[in-house]
Amino acid sequence: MKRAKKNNLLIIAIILAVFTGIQFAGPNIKNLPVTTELSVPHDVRVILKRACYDCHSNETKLLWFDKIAPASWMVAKDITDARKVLNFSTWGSLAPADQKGKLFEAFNQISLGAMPLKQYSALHSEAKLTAGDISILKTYISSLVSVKTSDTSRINAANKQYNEWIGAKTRFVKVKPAPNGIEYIPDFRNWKAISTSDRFDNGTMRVMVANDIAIKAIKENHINPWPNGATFAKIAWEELIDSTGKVQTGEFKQVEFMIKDDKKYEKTAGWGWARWKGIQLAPYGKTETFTQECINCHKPVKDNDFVFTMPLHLKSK
Amino acid sequence: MKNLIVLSFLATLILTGCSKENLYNESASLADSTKITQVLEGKVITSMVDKKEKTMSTLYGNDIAVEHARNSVDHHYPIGSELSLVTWSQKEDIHWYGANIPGEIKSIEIVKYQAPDSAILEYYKGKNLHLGKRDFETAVKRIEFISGQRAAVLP
Repeated sequence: MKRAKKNNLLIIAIILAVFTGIQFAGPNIKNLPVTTELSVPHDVRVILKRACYDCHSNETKLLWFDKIAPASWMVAKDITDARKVLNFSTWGSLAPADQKGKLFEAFNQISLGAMPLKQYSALHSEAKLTAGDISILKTYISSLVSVKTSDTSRINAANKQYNEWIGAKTRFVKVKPAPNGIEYIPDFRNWKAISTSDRFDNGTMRVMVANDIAIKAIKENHINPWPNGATFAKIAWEELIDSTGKVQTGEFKQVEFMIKDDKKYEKTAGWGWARWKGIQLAPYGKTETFTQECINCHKPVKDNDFVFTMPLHLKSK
Repeated sequence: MKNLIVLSFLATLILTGCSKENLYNESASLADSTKITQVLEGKVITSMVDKKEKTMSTLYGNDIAVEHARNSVDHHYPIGSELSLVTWSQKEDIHWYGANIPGEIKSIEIVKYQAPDSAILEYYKGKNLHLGKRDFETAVKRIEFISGQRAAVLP
């Protein structure tokens, strides 16, 4: 009996020792210097600081329970990942167009309920955004949109690209694969359209096209999840706007692919992701980790199998 | 208990109803009753937007027309070419603030080249795509406009 008691005490002592020990191990969140202060209206800054800054800036304010290992290790990982995606403290290092893009992406993550992360806002109730907060953010990002008549330099650039393209004798130059090994699929030019999008946030027009497997799935109502082999291409052009507000396709900007295969692409949300930029079709991303960007952005629509597009309901006749 | 079952059944119905509307863009799709479904099966030549009218259009073509549009700068389409301009009102994309997507179909205009240097225009309007009438002058203008669109660059 005495011996059992002694053993119990020993176990408790070991647990305590390990628990104390791990407090000194593992990652530590450091607040690096803030290189830029965000130039946004006061009410917007207050909301961002309250709801986003703990993870998306170098001004992280941890609460006592965030600092206790092993929970602190998860907190540290979340913060490191979050700062890589978006860090308001180094905002100035982004080009103005990228800043606008990040704000729209952040807003959409918030309005679709993907951000702040549930596990975070459950313990940090001050981070929860009210409908009023969301409306303030929406008003602000809407104010960043400007629909301007395209100047002659943009028209000339589009004409030059068109003339070179239409006059080209050979279209199929060798295109380098994406860093994750996905090869360019030139046949997307013959696929059927499932939607179009007028992106007034960044002045582009997009057409989404789909291969035969995806079109068959649309007609047969089997699109959530999409069947393996279903493939989409999202083609983007700059918008050329005339003085009466009529918009035509300008320069080709990029083409992006999503290829469904829940086995082959199990690690990347069941999809193969790839993007080629510019008329030279330069593969996007330095290493294969670029796909994390794709998945992060598509996460708010994970219940729609990570697909943003709501396709036209093509019917079989 | 019975009430609970009925309730949860209703809830499931409502939920699946919602999710289906969120999966497809039903409002922008062709009505089941329409006979011109082939239009949306064509290849895309280009796409356009009218910011003032808040409409967006996609120009589709059959194989002959697309082949011509993507390889020639002139707008003399060969016999057999068919061009279809589908115009939608715009609506906000519920999945992306910052994007407008097709709302409801406003019209479909089909240009058919059936003889050398001559084309006819078919004009369908409204959600139900009733065959509409264009006077001669308007028809000529629309044929010129639709045939005059250049193909979007597709490398």
